Amino acid sequence: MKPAPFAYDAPRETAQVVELLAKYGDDAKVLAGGQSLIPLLNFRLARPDRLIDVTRVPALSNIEPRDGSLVIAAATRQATLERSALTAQGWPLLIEALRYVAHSQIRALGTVGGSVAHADPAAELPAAFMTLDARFHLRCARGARTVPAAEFFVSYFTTALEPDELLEEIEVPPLPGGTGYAFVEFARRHGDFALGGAAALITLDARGMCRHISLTLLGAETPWRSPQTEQVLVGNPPDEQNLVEAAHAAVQGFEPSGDIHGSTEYRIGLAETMALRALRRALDRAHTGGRPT
Amino acid sequence: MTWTARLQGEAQPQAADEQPSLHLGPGRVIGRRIQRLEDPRLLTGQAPFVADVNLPGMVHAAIVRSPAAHGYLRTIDAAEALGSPGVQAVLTAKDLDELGVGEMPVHWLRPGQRNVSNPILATDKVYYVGQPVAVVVADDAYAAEDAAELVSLEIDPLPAMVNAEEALQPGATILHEEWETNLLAEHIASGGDVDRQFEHAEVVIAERFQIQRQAGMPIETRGAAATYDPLTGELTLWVSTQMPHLVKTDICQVCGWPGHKVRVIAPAVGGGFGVKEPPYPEEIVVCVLAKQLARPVKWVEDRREHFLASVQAREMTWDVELAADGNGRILGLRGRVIYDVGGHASAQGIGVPIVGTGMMLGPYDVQHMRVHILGAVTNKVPAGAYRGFGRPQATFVMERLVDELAARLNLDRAAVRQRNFIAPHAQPYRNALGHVYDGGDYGRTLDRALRQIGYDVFAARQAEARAQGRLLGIGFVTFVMEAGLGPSEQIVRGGHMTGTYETVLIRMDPSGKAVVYCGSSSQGQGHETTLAQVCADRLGLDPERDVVVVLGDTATTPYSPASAIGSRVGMVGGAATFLAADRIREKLVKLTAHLLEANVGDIEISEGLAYVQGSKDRALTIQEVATAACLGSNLPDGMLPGLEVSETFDPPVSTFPYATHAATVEIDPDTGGLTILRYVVVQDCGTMINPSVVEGQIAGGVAQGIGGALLEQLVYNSDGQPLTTSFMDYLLPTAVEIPDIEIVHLQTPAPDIPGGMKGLGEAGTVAPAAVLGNAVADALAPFGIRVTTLPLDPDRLWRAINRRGDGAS
Amino acid sequence: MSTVDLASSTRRVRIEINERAVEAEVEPRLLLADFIRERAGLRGTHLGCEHGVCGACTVQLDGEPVRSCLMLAVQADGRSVRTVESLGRGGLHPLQRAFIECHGVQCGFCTPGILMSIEPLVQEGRTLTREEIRHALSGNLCRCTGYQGIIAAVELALSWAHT
Repeated sequence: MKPAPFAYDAPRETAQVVELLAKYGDDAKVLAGGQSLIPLLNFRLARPDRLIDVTRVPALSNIEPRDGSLVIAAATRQATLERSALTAQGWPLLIEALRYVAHSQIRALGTVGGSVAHADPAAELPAAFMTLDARFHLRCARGARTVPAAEFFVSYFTTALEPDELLEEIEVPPLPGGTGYAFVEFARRHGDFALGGAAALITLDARGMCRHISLTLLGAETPWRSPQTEQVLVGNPPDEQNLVEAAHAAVQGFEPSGDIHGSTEYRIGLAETMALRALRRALDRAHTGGRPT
Repeated sequence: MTWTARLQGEAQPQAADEQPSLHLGPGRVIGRRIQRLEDPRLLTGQAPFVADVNLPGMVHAAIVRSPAAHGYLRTIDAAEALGSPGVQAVLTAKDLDELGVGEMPVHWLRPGQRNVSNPILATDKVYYVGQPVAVVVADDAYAAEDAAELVSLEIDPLPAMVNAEEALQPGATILHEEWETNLLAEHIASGGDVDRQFEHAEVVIAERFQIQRQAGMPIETRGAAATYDPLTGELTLWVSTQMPHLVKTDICQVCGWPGHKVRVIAPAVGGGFGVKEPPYPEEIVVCVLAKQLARPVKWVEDRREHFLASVQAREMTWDVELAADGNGRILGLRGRVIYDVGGHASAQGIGVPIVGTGMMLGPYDVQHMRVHILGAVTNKVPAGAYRGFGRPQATFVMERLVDELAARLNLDRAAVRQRNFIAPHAQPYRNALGHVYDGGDYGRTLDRALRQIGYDVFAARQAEARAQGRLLGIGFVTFVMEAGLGPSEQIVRGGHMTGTYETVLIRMDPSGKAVVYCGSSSQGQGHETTLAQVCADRLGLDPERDVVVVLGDTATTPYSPASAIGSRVGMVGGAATFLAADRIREKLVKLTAHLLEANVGDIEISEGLAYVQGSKDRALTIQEVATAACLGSNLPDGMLPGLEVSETFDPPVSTFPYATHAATVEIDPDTGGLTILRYVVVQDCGTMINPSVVEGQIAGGVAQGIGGALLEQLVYNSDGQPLTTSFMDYLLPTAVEIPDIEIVHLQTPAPDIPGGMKGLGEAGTVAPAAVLGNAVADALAPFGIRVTTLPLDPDRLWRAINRRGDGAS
Repeated sequence: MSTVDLASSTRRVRIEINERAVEAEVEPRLLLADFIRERAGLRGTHLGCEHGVCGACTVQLDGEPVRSCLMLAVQADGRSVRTVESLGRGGLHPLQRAFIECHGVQCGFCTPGILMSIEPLVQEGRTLTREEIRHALSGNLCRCTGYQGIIAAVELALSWAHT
């Protein structure tokens, strides 16, 4: 289990990364934290000719506020985001999601953008960004563009990124004050990829009705943001009956693929449970002004 | 304070539990919780494992393995690989044949067994994905792996047979065509007249149980490094094994090399659990290459290979019936078990189900059983040993049946067990298959465990929880296992190639310090510590300062045919150490009496001194006495000089340690997730040499048992392709999944074993699947679910609760 | 695959390991774990799975525990690594002593990785519940001990850190 040979570049600037991607395209692969890529290299399931290491580009490791939004440069380590006071203050859903990402030893090297670009269907961060309506800033030699989360995730391990494109930044818009949040998941062991999981945001209006709802399930081809859930709840009181109905609505059309750890049927049932638990917890927090509990 | 002491402190076990009833040796070292002598070098990263063996000019081997589960191997084209950078050689079966290298022997043979040896590298056919086909040697591990990819194999695929039961059906694809069947071997474990019992039984519980494929999965993979000296013709092999002497025996036999020119060393070994019990083809190949290339050669198995080429275990399908009267008295057990052997026999043949079935009636006074054991080959990795060796499966089956019997008769599960236990006064008890137990009070361990876990109040807690929609369950299991295994003659008659004796050599030099040489090897069990304790105890020495134990090197240690298998080193090695040390002690006593002009009967030895009883001023240090003995001066008439004793202990009988395990669980009906709330073990393993070591063995075994019950499963698709070849798919328990394990000791010395040890190493693994199976069945009782299939994973439990079919039953 | 002889394109790296600079010409594909073991000759860092799950190869990179099997040596160029050999120079580290006292070691293969994962928590003098200790250990697999002695050892070492 040693990687096949490859060439290696470690540029210091984003422009150089983009240049290299333009030059090598499909033959090259971006190496960020490597926590998903290097296992694939060790198993020789991936054998790129060239790795472009983006972790030595200072501009790609950064967390900053921008016009009220949170901007995370793609090669920011997950551990750095986990410890970010700014993130904890305004986007605690991300912190809660990160706690489920593997183990601390993996998060110490794994990057935020790496997880997003890898697009594992059971990964936590893509679901969290989907829930938060994040926008992904991509760059290539041909120019830059911004893709909303809803359009970024295309299929299993497949995103809107072109072979010559770099995920540069992730922009997370601000949440209305008092938004309740929750990230819950169930895995066979602590730290494993989830068998089922859900991320939820609930904002209540002055009368205690649901003003804004966002719910995403893990485990299908792409993070599953459920419009039905929003329809059930928005404008209605978030009572238990409505939450149950919303959770049930969430799995309509949700198609996780089964494997040796859990059948499709089980994963759908589990997703409904996770949806309900996420909604309940988010609601609790909405009632207490969106503070972590 | 140690962890168990703390746990026990909370649990307030009776002090009497800890009272050893054995006369301890002069040093009172047996029974003490001393720190392990092995630890400093392991904690500092200084202990050398096989991968750490580095010699000048060393080259690295990579194995080319079959990508197909079943097929005819037509050609092997190594031309491109030979041209790859850094490649030194490529070896195939043809080369081995030309070198006169034979086949790997199967060590466990039954009458009529169709498979007595296996090719080292595949010849004309491949039987499982991962089977070794060729070996590439290159300058480093990276280059070797590069080149191994370039060896091209032409294989005509055949349909894969992945189900042992189907493999025995008429018309099934035959793996080994010359056999004309997929039946490797069979055996009927039979005693009494079971069919008659069924004729008048008031209750018959018939059930089908399926236990999944698992593996021991040590964190250190296998590995081997060899060097050959052309001047002397001596070959040295470092190998991650449980059986260095047997590896050597196989090398000599397979290669036709003389034993005095072959040295096998088991250095630090990172866990074995049965996986490293048999000698493996790669170990032979590395030796052959070292000799051919006249360069040191190293092969370190990677984790993916470990999933493809190291023995797997546990997979069995049972169809069994239990007969009982209306009071829950068990009358007999009969049925059939089909054992999935894999592509060909491993070294252990069908030994695993034979051993498991042999003690299936366990603590119960039942004289009638018949189980037909069938071993069928399939296109999967060969199956062999894994800690427990058939006992966890048999215990799961038997104990689920007993719980179902109690449920059928609406009787208390504990009461049914108590009603059927062999009474202490009926010991020694001969079971239905002729094993003669060496004592045991099973009712006491059950009572103690149930008291510890609070069985009397659990039903109320459970009812209360159920009213809130929460699912709690309790399970408990009492088992007896055969350990140590002996005498050798009987074990060999039973089909095992080797006997089970152990020889220990103790050498004391003029400094009065002792070195203990034992041919077994340790994979973490702490044998250096426990054997040092036994020796120190008998000789009045300090085990940490005065004794060194040498293990696992065939050049320095006495021959050991069975080494670290069968829960035997503490018992058999301990007994041999006990006897050898006693003979040294005898000599020291005689010599002291002579030197002090006292009576032999008045000499005591303790704490480094030999003295006249009652008058410590008439004393010599052990060093002074040893000096006299070793230098050969001033000896009594007839005493030869020297302080070196070798003793062989061949167990006159097997020993029968026993235990009760009990657990409480909670199942989340919405996720199928299972949490173990408490896990209790009440164990009697005879004399404990070091209770902390005993507890470590129990806890480690229980954790493996929990893994097998809940998490671990090796899966193959219908083409025979393995789907679990990484730790992301084969799930070992982490610290989060393993609860606190509360251990209570009973200590009844084995009557026939010097020192009184009963053996322990495997005991922890035997019960957890059965305990958790019973606890889950109890938790899910409102749903009317029969727990018959492992593992108890969340999908299975969720389906059972939510009535989606294919659930726990 | 490209026909370029990629293996020949080596790079010079300099990694500080246990406060000693180790320089070598390496292929980009060389794993940090192999650099530590084969180039720096520090064999206390063990490889148990080479895909980042077992944790036996855990070392500290600039003070943080990471998997040395999931990092290339070239990625560690210019950075600082600590391995098990750095612990307890001139006497055992309290964490190592706690492992001895609590029988936290059996085969010892996974132990160096566990020590390197937990040592920062002891150093920081963290107060952890037993459940938190279990979570802190969950990135390291042990197949021998059932974790009981390890959990006790971590509890003991943390308690010493507070006194």
